[in-house]
Amino acid sequence: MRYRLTHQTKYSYSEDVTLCHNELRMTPRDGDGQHCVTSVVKIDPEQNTYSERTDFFGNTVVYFDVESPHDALVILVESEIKTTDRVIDEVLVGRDTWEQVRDLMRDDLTPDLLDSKLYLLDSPLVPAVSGLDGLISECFPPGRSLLDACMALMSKIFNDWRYDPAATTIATPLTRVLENRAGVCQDFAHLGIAVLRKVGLAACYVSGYLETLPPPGQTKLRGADASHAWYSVYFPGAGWVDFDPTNDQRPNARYVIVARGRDYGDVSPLRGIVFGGGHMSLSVAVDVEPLPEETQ
Amino acid sequence: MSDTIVSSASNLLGDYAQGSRRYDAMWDRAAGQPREHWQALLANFESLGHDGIEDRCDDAERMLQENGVGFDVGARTEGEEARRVAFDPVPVLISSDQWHDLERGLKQRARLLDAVLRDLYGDRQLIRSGVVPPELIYRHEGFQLPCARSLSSGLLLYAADVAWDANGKPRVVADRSQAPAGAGYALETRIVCSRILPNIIRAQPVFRLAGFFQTLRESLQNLAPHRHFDPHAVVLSRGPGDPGYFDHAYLASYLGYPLVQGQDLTVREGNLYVKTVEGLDLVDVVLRRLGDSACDALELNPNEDAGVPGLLQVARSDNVVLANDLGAAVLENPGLMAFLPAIARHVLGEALQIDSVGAWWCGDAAARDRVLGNLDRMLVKCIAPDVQTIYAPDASRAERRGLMARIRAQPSMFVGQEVLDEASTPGWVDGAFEPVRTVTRFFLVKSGDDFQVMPGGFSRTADSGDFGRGLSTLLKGKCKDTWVLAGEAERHRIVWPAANQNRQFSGEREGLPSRAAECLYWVGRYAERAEGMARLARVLWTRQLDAEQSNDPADVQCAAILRRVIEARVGSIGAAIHAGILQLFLSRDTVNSLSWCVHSLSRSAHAVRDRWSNDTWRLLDDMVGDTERFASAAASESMVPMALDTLIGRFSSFAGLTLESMTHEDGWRFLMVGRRLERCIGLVGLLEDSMTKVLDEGATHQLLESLLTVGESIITHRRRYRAYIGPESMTELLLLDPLNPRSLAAALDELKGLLDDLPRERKVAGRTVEERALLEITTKVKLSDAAQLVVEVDGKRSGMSAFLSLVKARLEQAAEALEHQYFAHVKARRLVPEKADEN
Repeated sequence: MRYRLTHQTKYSYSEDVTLCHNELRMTPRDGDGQHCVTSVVKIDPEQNTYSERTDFFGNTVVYFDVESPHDALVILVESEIKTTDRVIDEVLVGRDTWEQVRDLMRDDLTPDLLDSKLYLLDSPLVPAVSGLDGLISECFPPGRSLLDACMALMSKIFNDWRYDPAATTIATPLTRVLENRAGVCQDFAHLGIAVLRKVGLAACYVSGYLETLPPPGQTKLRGADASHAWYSVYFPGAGWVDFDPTNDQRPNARYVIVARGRDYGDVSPLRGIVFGGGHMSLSVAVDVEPLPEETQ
Repeated sequence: MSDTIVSSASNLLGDYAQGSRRYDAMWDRAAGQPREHWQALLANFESLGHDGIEDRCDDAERMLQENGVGFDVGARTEGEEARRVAFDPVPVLISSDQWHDLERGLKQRARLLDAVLRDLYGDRQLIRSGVVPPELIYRHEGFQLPCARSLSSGLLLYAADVAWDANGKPRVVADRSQAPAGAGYALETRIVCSRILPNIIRAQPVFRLAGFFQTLRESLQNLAPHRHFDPHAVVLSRGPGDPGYFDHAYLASYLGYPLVQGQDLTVREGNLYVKTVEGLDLVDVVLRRLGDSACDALELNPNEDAGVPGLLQVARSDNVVLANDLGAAVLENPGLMAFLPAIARHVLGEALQIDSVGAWWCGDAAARDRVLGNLDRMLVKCIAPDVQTIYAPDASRAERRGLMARIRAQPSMFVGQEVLDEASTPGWVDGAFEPVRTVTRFFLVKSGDDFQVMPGGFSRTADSGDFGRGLSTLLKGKCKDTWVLAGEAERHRIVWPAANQNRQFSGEREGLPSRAAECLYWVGRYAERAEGMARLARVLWTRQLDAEQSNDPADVQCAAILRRVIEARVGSIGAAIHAGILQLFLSRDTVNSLSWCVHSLSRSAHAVRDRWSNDTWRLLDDMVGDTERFASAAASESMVPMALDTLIGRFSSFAGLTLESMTHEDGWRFLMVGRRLERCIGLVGLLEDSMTKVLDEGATHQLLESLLTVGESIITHRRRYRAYIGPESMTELLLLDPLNPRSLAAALDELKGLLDDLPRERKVAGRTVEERALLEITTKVKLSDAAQLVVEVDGKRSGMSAFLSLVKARLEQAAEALEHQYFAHVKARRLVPEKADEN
């Protein structure tokens, strides 16, 4: 598939901001079946400094600052991206039981495995929590293949947790998500990761987009899309395999990956420090627009 | 000869080290006499005698106290005594042979840790090849993901805490890699030691410390990205609230770098600048005294405001050198010690030359069993934040059980560290030589491809349980100097190395940081306010006693007016006069009370600690001490006049010292602007509260005399007007006469001169708000006529009222404009994050 992505973020302030420093993680990654053809960042008012780098996780980070007084900051990221379904060796992925993989993750010392050990550990937004035992015993019975266990966990979260944007905020802790059985994609991803890590498996957080389809007979509204999040599990030999508990499906060519990290904190699309500004408000508009396939 | 030395020294030695089977640094048990390199020192101490040594101890402690070592305004709570620093005059003595091994071993360790730092934030080969377990690094709070691939100069400064084990072998008990503190203490201890024991230290070939600081300066200079010849370096501190603030200020003064806080700095156009009263000044090097996570709210801990948002990005682009690079805390991981021998073999192909204290990381099953089985001989450390080191031998049975459960639940979070059975070294304890235990912090700085070790260090007497804890814990012991003795071949290295001839100075003066300017301005204002309040209190005291004795209505009325003047500033002081005045001293919480003024003055002065001479600092210290002492002697009425006299004397000395011994640059100008503004405001307020109503003749006479006394102009008045005293002459002298240095007119003239010399770059064309305001009142003062101002109508002096309220309004306007123009700060805040909410 080909998509044109536009992600516009606008901060409005009641008083002038005299200086701001920002970090953006909105440039889609290459790899995992996708290729980022172009990605352009436009900042209004114009930035004074702009630089790109690759972070610890391999994500592209844009740093910029704005040094002229402003009462609004608009960041527009326009990307063109080509995606395909992930090429995953389903036989290999379905082969090992979850216990085998768990033991391998614990004991094996090959470089790839040592690298992925970071994702076995708690992280700031996915701390060790209690109350996961029921989920674990239901989804991870003895002898089940890791793939089947992961599919079961994904469906379990999808079926037993209510999607409700009003139920959580950006700061809602995992324990509340567990208690209320409600949340959004970010909360579901954190929940899945917590379960997998508790079992002893390596799991990471993935941020990106999903092409949404309008209800039958209606045209798609511009700006109505949003950023999305899911999680990924490390299968030794095969690599990372993604799962989307919000939609109960394994991500395909309709998904665009922007960044990977231990949890949301590592991949938040925009973080910034502002001087001044008074009261601030935020609005975001995202479009995932399919483009015609290139004829070759 | 050595026999005589031993026998004479034995008077002081007594039964030193009798019965101890541990290694002692001084006493050679096998030979039954002191080791050779100690003999000269012992003989010298012997010649001082018991009383001589005791006296020198007192001198040293007083000097340390006066210089403000360990004296920490920010952290002290009301009523808490200033902590007296304890000093042990017997140095830690390191022979030339011992030093060779130690120096070589410390250099090797620094090179190794530098390589580890680069690897962990680079390719992580140590993890990928299985030398270091990933959990140990990833779980440690010091491993900062944003610092990956972002290092520039690596480990520039390193410090190792070293103790000597029961066999006399040095062992590293802790590694310090973020912002190793204590080099300033080492210097200060040496300076004090050379002052109290000048002959003893000169009689020995003791290495001097200055060369180390010169190398430090040169290393930083060579790395500076923008200007190698005269780079702008700053020392970044959290400020007076930091327990190491003395060390920061001392180091800054010694190196000649400005001491700044995060809010003094700003990141623009990808560079780091210090905000000065003249504008932005490019910074090349930051000697940071802040922990990693506090340095950059954008990429590191967003809740910290002590650092500079964007700093990591500037360092990453090589536009500033940080000593050390952010992320260096990863080397302070106590579990890393367990793997250092293997890392040394892997990275350097060498064995470690100095062993660490025994350390076992519980993530390894065998190590865990060892820790759990030997808990009573372990210091247990957690590698996550917010968990304190636990000294297991001190723990109760229940605590120990809890600890074991926690270790079993999350073994990879814990490290057991051996409680070292230590060697002893002589200390001066209760008037005799006694074996004590010490820990010494050694400092290293990178120089080219290798490191240089400071030939000396910061030594403290300490117990094993204190090792590896922070500096604040170390400060609890007694401090000792550390003498490294040069061998025959190196005696020439003892002296100061020649200054680098190639060094060039641009001659460019560094700008005054805005925050420093603000602090100095407030030092001026508080000093003047405190002095004014003390003078008012003294006059009220005298008048009140007169009134009580004479019962003359004039005296009573005058005292009542003066009391009203004071109460307009601090609120009600109660009916009983002496209790009321004591109240002025006492309540630190009452705004404008003497105690409040002095403490505010001290706090502002402390925030620019690097700008005061030792004499000035001692005076400031005395002011606080006096105020507290008078406050605590609340009951004694007879003390009041003496107390006020003493304080007023201190204030005058402070005024004199700042005038005479501060260079008349911007910093001094801001201080003087504060002083003069406050003097004008105080004078106007004084007359407004006392002179606008007309009293009868007797009371007026008393009042005028009191006002002239408060205004320090009574002598001038008598000389000029003889016995005559009236509202007109007082007004002429205190307000309008530019020749009286204490008058409003003189203060306004001085203010104008000061403002003219302030940095002009930021000024708008034409006159600034404060210049216009001051011009207006100066003109008014010049055109006013004393006789007209004091005209009485219906029992009031309305001309005087109008005049004073106009002057007051303009002064406030000028003060506000000045503060806004030069000091305005805006606080940093986080952006509200976006929530991912796609269905």
